[in-house]
Amino acid sequence: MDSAVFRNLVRHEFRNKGSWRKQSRIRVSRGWWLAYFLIILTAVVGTMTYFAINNELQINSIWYVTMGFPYMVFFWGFGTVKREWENDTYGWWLTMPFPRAELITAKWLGVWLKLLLGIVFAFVLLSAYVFVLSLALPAYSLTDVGSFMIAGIDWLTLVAGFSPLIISLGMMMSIIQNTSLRPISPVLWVVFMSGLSLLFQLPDSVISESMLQEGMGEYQAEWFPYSWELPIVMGVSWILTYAALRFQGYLLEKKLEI
Amino acid sequence: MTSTIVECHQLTKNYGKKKALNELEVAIPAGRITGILGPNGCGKSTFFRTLTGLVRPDAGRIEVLGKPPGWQNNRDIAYLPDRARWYPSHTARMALEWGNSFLPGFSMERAIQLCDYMDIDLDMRVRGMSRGQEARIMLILCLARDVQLIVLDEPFTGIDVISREAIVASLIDYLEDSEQSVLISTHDIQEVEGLFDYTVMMKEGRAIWSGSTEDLRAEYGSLRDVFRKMYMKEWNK
Amino acid sequence: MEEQQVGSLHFHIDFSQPLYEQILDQARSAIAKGEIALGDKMPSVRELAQELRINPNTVMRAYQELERDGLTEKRRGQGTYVTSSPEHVASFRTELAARYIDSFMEQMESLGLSWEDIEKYIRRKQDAAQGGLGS
Repeated sequence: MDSAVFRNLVRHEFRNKGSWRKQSRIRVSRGWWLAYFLIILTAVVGTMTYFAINNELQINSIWYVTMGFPYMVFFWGFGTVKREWENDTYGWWLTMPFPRAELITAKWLGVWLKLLLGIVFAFVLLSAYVFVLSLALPAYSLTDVGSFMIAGIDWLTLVAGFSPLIISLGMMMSIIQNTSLRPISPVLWVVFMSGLSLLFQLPDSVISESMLQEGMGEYQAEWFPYSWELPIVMGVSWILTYAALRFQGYLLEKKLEI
Repeated sequence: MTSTIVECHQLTKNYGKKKALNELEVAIPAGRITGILGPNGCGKSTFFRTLTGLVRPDAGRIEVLGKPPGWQNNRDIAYLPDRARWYPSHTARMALEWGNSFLPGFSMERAIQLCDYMDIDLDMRVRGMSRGQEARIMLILCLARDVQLIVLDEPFTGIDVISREAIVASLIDYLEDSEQSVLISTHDIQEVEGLFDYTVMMKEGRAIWSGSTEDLRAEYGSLRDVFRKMYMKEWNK
Repeated sequence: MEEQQVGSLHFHIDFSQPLYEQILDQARSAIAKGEIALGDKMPSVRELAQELRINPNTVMRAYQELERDGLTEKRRGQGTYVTSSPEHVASFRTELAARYIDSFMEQMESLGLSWEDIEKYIRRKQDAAQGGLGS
């Protein structure tokens, strides 16, 4: 396959959104969604600002809002495959004249790029918020902002680095439900869901648990607060990702049950 | 007789206990418009899915364009999947761009012509279209291709009369100046029976009759009557 | 079954009979009867297929046969025209009449009728027709 086609595939997946099923639900108008979103946003920002004004906000812990990422990313992966079935577009998708491993890789890359974009967005937005805080409140200095950003980069690197595997496992889950391996899917749900919580229990030697709590007062966040094992673990996760994608290509090629 | 475009021997596919294809024997000649007829659940769609490599048969042999099915072969096949929908967030133009980027032999110019002919607004979102408009777009994705084989699985189901007529008309137009082979499955032959010059009747995963449609007419009368007689049992259920 | 008009031609397609022969027969008789004039353009294959909703290949085959009959001729890039030679049509009409007579005679003979009987039947028919016209 030439790279132009692959690029187009990734772009198609990157932009792909929306579902017929969601559409047939009771329609809540766009205005209402926006209203709900703004209410929640105001509540969150308000709470944070309240604590900040009372000098009780450890700003680095703001990054905790992104803690749920493994689950979120898993379901992104799951959803990107499931959507083809929900939308009844799987027939088009799977009869494209390209190897199915390629189709699945493009899907995976599309989701990952979307995630990276989200990460950059979150980083810029939160940094800007903390910067404003530091200007408004005497308790926070520009050094704190710097420390906040470093802690953020440390943390988001983890998110970006481990999400490839998690996305691919989410996709695998959805694919297995459409193949002859379907009977094992309940077992896999248990394995994957409990497996994700293990991520939070990586040994302290790899990821220091207090990483996000540091950075107040004399504790400044440092670049790369991880031990040397982390890159290895991450590297292994990428190899696993590759294996998972190849396996999904195989499943789609040989074990599909429609 | 000319060469065959699809050939199956003992083709079998089971879903649990149900035999979707039951040792199907079929040879479909090239360069014809072949109707694969039968009631719902007779194995038409499973047959088409094995043609395009979506489904692997449990047993038997199938050759399409002289090769086993698979993604490589799909370069030369335009396939309209059964009960398919299109991506709701796309506009008609985006759907055509999709075809242009991924489907070999796709002609953008021809696709735009067809949209014009079938009265499709290129900037309309699929989300806001009627089922008939959506079906027309999907058909255009198949007809705008210059490929050896076109496979349309139930292209007339759940579509308004006007879209149906537009589809039949563009099929006729299209077929007039092409050497392509076309397979169309349907359980409803009204208005389309004059289209088929070769007919395969399926029932319970087997081909119970196949041959030139004119022979069928000479022997048994109109397709509609044959259809009614052959599937009486199913209809009375 | 409805009658369909395509250009100056009338068709009457019955889906319980082979389509090719119906198109061929009906086009032949339209030309022989002069329903469509000498030198006139025939409907295009596409037009006819569209109107009758039938496979263009079937129409094409019928058109090829008409050409072989000498009733039509293809002009490059312009389509198919009815022959402009009255002799061609006349000779085709004679030929067709001979064929019809043959099959008519065959049927009559199968009834065991003699020449005289047949003549008598024809006379009677003719008289009836004229009588019908007179009254």
